[in-house]
Amino acid sequence: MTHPKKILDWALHAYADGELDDTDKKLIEKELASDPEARALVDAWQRQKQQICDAFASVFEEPVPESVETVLLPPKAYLSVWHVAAALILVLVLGLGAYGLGWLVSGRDAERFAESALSAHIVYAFENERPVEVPASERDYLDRWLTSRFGRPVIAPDLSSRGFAFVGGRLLHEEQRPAAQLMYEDRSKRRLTVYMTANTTGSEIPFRLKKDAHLTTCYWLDEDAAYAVVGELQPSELLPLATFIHKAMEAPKRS
Amino acid sequence: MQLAYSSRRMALRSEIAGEVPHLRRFALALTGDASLADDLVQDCIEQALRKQHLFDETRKLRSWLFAILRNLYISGLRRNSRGKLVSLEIDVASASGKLHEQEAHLALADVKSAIARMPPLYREVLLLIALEGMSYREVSEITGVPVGTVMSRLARARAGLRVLLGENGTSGLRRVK
Repeated sequence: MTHPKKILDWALHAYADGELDDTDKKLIEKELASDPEARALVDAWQRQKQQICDAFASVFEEPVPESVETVLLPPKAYLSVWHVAAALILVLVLGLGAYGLGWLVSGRDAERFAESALSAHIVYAFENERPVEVPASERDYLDRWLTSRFGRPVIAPDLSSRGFAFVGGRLLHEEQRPAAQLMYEDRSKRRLTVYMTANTTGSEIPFRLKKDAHLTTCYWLDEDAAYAVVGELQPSELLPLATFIHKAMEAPKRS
Repeated sequence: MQLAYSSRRMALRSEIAGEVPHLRRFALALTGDASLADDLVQDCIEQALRKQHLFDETRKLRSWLFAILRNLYISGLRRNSRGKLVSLEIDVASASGKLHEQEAHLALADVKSAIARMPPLYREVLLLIALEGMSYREVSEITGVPVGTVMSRLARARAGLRVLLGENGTSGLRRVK
């Protein structure tokens, strides 16, 4: 830096990256107003940031490769050749295939479950007259109802801190089992639904993403329940919401 | 026949699954190669699951995973340079010089190839800050270098990137002390 009045470059970087507190920020902003060269630098860095984000944005739209998903499956899903051979023998000898290979079915069950969640979203989320059966004003009733249906404390998660207001819920059915759809809405009236039912597969599956045209579904199976979150959102927007919901659903179970 | 799988461990798996898009994006930007990136993400998750007892829950999961991924990547680089560990360090020290030399060949290079040409230790700092919006402190924790080093690497990476992208003008070459 040659000019004594020039602000330290480091302070400029820290400013560009939001590292400064309000006092320092104001100080830099005052300086920037009278230093076009510094202003141009900060602008160039912001542009770089945007260019870098744009260059790699498409990764969020891609499905997660199977090799990565496999690593995330609980250990019981890892089967060696011997396990498979033993299972086959068991099937042949005992004819109990449906039970013995229950883990194989769970992946397809989960996909079917995600399909139901998506259909339910398409049917009700675009409904203006009566999108829900039980409105948000009767939340206590809804929580009691969910709790009795699922046989454990279940509370409709509060997503207001994430910009989504609770609209209400609806009783549906998944195969022969009761299912619930909870609906949320953000300021621009984009709707998000959380679909849940009991998990009868006996398996657990961590987050999976599915994208259909504008709608993204994130679904997972925990030890008692299957969940799907559907919304007209990018996967990068939906995933943090799903993580938040996952945590909220875990909380009442623990207490 | 099946062992009960604790719900806390399951929760960690789901939380890691939620981080996969970020891990893949970071790995792709680091390596510049989609299949290398996915191998790296897979190794990272395997190591995280193996070492989950070491995860400090007061820390952000993303930072922990990024640190694992980054260490795997850097140690891979060091291995491939067949013991010439110094070359990586020299790269860092002379990086701005090198970037400037390449200027002529890269007048209109796109961002991806410009990033790929950057020395790894600069690249990771720029990516963590520009792509992931991480704070200098987080980057310092992930890369294991002091905040001051993070800042000087960042400054050089940004100046270098401007050159690589053909954004000429003296301001791009302004000295950083």
